[in-house]
Amino acid sequence: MIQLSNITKSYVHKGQRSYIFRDLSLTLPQGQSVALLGRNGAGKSTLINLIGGIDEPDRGSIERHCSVSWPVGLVGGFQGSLSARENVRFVAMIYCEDEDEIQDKIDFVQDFADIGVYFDRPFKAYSSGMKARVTFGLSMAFDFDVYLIDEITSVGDEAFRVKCREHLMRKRQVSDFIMVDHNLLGLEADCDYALVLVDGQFYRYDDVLEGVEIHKRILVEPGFKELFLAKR
Amino acid sequence: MVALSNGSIDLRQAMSIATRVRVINALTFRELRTRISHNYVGFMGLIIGPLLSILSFSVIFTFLHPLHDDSIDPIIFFTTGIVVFTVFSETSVRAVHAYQANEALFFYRHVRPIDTVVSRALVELGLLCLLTIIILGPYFLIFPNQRIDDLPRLFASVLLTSVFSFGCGVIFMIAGRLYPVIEVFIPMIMRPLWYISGALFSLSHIPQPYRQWLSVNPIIQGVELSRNAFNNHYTLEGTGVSMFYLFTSALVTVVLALWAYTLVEKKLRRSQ
Repeated sequence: MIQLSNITKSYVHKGQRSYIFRDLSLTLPQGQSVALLGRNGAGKSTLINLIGGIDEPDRGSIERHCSVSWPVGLVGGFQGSLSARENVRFVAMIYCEDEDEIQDKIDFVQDFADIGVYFDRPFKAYSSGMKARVTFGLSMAFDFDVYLIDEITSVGDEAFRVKCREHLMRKRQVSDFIMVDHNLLGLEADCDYALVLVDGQFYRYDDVLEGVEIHKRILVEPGFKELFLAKR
Repeated sequence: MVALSNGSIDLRQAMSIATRVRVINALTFRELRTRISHNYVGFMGLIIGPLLSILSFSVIFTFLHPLHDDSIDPIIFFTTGIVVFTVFSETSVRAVHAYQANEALFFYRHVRPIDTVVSRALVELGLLCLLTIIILGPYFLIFPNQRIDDLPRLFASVLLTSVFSFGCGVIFMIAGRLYPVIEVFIPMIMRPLWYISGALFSLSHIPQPYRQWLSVNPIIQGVELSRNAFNNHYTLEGTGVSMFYLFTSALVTVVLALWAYTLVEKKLRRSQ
């Protein structure tokens, strides 16, 4: 279970403060996967970053009663001047108990990414597809109770996409997903419920497809958002 | 203020000593890889730079201007001065930039800003010890009658200087993160500090009252104590230099730094 209590989060740009969340409280129960829906800039990634502990709220607390992944498949934590092997070793050294386990993780990612000699070349020289292969492989190498899946913009070619989907489905058997909507992997349908984010508040839909419908109407139909909020 | 429940498995994991050790270990690995493996020229520069300054100072001051104490060999004199000061300057200056350089790694929640300073301090200490061995190894082979009088004292003074530098580094990192102008300012004060920290002179050669003012600086204490550890004839009498003073400064600085850090850690990690 992940519990957010009275979270306030704002960003300041050129002296102007804009609030993403004000006194937001949210409980994400164990055993259920959630699709986060909302327009760009609504705060989906901010929420993912807060849950992942990459960012801290201005006020409020976040309790994680389980192990939580870093946002899956993002290049955020990678050092460009180091090779994939070194980057993977770094992360494995943080999460693993001993050298054998570290070596297993490195072997897994090398096998999963399947990028040949590039595995030992500086990460910054990789194509975006190669980067995706490594970062995704790294996320799949570890077992977490909850996986954070932010919008993935690139997962390489079709064959690799299928492989990613397969691995995610396997993880899904034992872990929960907190994911931002995207069509690349087509995973929303596998979630247990949807949270539609409108003006810093979440609205829960147990029927994911209904949530997706509402989300789409808010995006394209003028005046629908106001009507939606008035009804709430 | 953010309250965290004690019952959280995740929090306990993030706070545990084992996790800290693993994170610092990983950061140290990464730091060494970034600085050495990919750039042998950089590693040579790391050794050759200080080596050249030690040799040139030894030559200049031996023949032209014997500023140093006669009781100690100029090579030992300048090696200790330069190495101990460099422990301080490299540790603290690198700490200022530690947050920015490692920002990407806070992507992994277990990595905390202070870990980056710890690992950088360890790397600096290790590299400079290696440098000292590279310089003094041949020296002791060439002059077999030279010896280190008090090895534990030497270790203690270098280690305490490093701990003091770590404390300063944490404070500098916090200050630099909260007020970015400080990031520019810190490297600028290193040059004046270099001149007053005893790398090039003996405290006992400085007249009062300047001597007592200079001896307030914990770095000069570390420098003078190391020289005394190499050669007990190198006098510390009347200089106000003592292991107790260095120990107290290191302790007070680290306690202060850690206290300040616990107050602002969340703020450091918060994107603005």
